[in-house]
Amino acid sequence: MATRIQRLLALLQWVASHADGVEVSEACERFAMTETELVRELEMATMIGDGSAEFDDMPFLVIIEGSRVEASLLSFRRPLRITEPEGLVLLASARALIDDETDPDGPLARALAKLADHLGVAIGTSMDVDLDHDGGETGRTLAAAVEARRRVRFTYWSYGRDSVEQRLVEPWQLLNHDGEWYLSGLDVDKEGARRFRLDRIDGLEVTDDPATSPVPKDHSIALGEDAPHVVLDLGPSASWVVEAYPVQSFEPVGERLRVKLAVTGASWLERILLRLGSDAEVVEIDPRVGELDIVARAAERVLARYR
Amino acid sequence: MSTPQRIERLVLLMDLLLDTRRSLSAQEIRAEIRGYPDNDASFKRQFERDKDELREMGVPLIVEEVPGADPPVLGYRIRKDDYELRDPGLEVDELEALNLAAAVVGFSGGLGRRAMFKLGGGASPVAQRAELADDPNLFTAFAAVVARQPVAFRYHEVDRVVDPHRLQFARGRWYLHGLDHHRGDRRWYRMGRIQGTVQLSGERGAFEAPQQGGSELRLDPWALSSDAQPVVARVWFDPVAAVGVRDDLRDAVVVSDDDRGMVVELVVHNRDGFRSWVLSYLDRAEVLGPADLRAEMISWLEGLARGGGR
Repeated sequence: MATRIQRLLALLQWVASHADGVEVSEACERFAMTETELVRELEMATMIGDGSAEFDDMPFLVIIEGSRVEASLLSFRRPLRITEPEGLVLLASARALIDDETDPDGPLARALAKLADHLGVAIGTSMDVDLDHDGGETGRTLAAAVEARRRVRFTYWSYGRDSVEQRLVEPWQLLNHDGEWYLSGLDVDKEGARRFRLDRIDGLEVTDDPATSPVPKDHSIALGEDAPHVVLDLGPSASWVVEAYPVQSFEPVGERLRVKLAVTGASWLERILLRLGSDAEVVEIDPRVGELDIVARAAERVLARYR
Repeated sequence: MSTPQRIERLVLLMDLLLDTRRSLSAQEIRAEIRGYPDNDASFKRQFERDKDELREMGVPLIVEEVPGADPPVLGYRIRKDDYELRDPGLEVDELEALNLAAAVVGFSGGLGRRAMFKLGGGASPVAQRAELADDPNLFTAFAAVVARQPVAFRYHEVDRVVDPHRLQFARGRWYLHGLDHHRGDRRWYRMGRIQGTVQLSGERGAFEAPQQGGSELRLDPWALSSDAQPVVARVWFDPVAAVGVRDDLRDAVVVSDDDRGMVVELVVHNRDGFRSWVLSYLDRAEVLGPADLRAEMISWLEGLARGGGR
């Protein structure tokens, strides 16, 4: 609602700033609206206040004639002030895109400085945003491959299973989640949709082979329902596991917490257990993942390094 | 009531309150603006919702007693100078750059777009690429940083009052840096760990913004502050793990990096965090030294290999 009202006021202010009006198509392009949508919004605007007996109770005068539209404003000639939340969002967005390579005299840097000054914020001192906004060299290369619809080849360290393999992938999309970049795509050899974390990709190469698989509309890749499970008893200092991992259920058992976790791979579970130490105990484990002594075996394997 | 009717009512309400010289009571407003229900209770409810909507848009609604009214009654108006955007003086290319930035890096909820409409921008020119995580307390914290106003919140089961100095987004999360009144030192707080809501507590301009940024935000598990004496650790990673580790290292010193793996030296402030981090690489990492840190790791692993004494 609030965004739609601000868009309507912005549209009317922009049209009114052109004394001779503007082309409807131009307004559509600027505000990314279809002609039907635009005309509907403008017609709504002309109705506002038309029930009143007084002509000057109507805040806007809008005339649509053929392919042109004109507006004059009796109220709302100036835009509404920016709220602090809106200001924060804009500052953060702009700050996120500025890095060491950004021209300090370029338009974005100048805009950020003016906006920060306008809001009374010292960028770098009172707020800062450290966002890897494109996934670095790997991210840029992959983005280009997505755009060009090319297959890519790389070495991937599969963290969950702790294995290193060559992958041939038809890249669909790059996405950022919780500060990490991921590539979603079709793994050609495994014939299925997969998600890859960019910082585990090595030796990336864009091939000349075209990617032919259709990009699905929804390519969120979730853990399957049939993913193996493990049941752990956690001590008080290990309860952070509940918020950090995909816990399926949990219940208190005395001082401890009994949790059921979906497991993405044996190595993934080994890491958690090694880190938690005696704060965690395996109560039940899917045989596809390992045995109840999974942590002891993992500890012995790591210890072998030290001997 | 349909959306266009509600939009009309809100626009007329803003127009009326911007135009009035003295504040208007709810009943006067009801008489002027069509679209409010006849029933008293539902009028009251809808008028409350409209006021909330105006405030959310950023309309500075003044609530004061209607002058001369007897008995006293509350009235509403909007001062034009408060309502209108002071011109930030953006040139055309600056506006376009900002419009693009707001499109590429987004928050959920359309706030950035709304702000761009106010500044004279148009629709999103491109699709969003990255999202800055939202946090329910973020905007209060930001308003407090800007206004130099202390805030009160609960963190790690302790109620705190903090002079908020700085907000920082790093590795997908928001952090607040400020002076803790009770402890008397400056600390970092992870916004997502704040329990309940952040409340403004105290006057605007209650403290001076510090000239320096204070302690740097360190998120590396081995660098988190603790009471232990810092120690320089030497760690080996195999070539596979090294690919991922390289991005994480920041100020660590790389001693060697070849096809036998990578050896780094880093300053460990937090031994638990360090052990946890090294173990996340399983047998692809090894603590080489110093001897006591290596012995600690071996003893931790031996405890688990024997079944942790259970």
